[in-house]
Amino acid sequence: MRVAYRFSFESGREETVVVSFDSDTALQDMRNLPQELPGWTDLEQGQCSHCSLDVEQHKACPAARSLVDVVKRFGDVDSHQSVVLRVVMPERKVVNATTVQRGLGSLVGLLLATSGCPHLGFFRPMARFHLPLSSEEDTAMRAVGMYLIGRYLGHGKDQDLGLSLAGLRELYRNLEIVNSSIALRLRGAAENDASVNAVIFLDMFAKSMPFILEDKLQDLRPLFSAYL
Amino acid sequence: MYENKILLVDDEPSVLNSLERVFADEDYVIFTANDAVKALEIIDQEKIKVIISDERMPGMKGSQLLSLIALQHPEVVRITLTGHASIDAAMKAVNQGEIFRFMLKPWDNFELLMAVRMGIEKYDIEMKNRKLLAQLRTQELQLERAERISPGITQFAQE
Repeated sequence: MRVAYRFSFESGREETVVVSFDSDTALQDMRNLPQELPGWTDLEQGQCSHCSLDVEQHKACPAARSLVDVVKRFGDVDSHQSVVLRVVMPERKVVNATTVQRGLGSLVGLLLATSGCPHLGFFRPMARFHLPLSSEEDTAMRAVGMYLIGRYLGHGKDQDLGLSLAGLRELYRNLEIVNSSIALRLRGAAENDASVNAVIFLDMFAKSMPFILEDKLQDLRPLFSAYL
Repeated sequence: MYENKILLVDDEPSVLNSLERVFADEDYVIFTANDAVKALEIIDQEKIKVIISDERMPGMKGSQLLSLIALQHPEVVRITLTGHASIDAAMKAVNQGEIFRFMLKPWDNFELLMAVRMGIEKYDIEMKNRKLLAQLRTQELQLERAERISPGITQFAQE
């Protein structure tokens, strides 16, 4: 599956990033990733406190490696710039006027989820059904749906599934740790703030999730009245 | 003591929302501004105890905003929250006393909560000190006046 992000700047500059991943596993095709990696991708340097990867077997942090191309292209860009973003997917095309920060936030989210990072693997189903420029509410709806499908498939049809979302909160807490260490790596890598701000923007979703799960889901009751 | 009023400044609405949620369970009155001009308006009108400002914003930068506030309202406790910063810049800002804390995005909720609590404590202690100093000064003036009217009375009182 291919998702192409094209950023058209007011200056006339254009940047296109294509994300290719297996539609069954939502894992990126490693052949498309750069083979020569900069120092800031080293797994050993700044490895997340909860990372399960062995530095003997993995030279690079998979999440950082997935961002090398974006950092190279957007390293000199101011994140507040206005752009027209065109996202082309097999099923649809999304066009929207936005900022570099928001567009990159969406792209970086897709790159990280499909990168092979063990903590981000839980988000691969969302990447497979990627929704560019999704709002907080879109993300919450999709995340809860993804999590409950995961539990359903994990436990089997006839067993008690349990409806607690505590596990989803935990996934987002782990995601916050990854976001912080990726931001730390990127701070040393880019001249300007676009890629760091994209991760920060993405982290807002992770930080919002516990609050949304506590409060906002109840606000959806009228929408689900047919189920209640 | 005054209400615990804090001001959050960032040009990105999702950051402001997220910050507001961090402090939702605290007994704070929260004000938000999406640029420095709006922040200055609020700070002129409200007794803000702590301000948290982003650095890179369109228009006036966070550091310029906090410097202005340091001049006009030095009692306000100033915190920078930035996505992009060198250790040198952070050390310089803190060591020169321009700001109370220099924090990085993405932030840790607990660290941010603690920083603001300590900032409010600092503000309250400073205000209390100023009040006590003012009282002390008033009492000194009263004693000086009494001494002028009745020489030796203050020495008697001390005995």
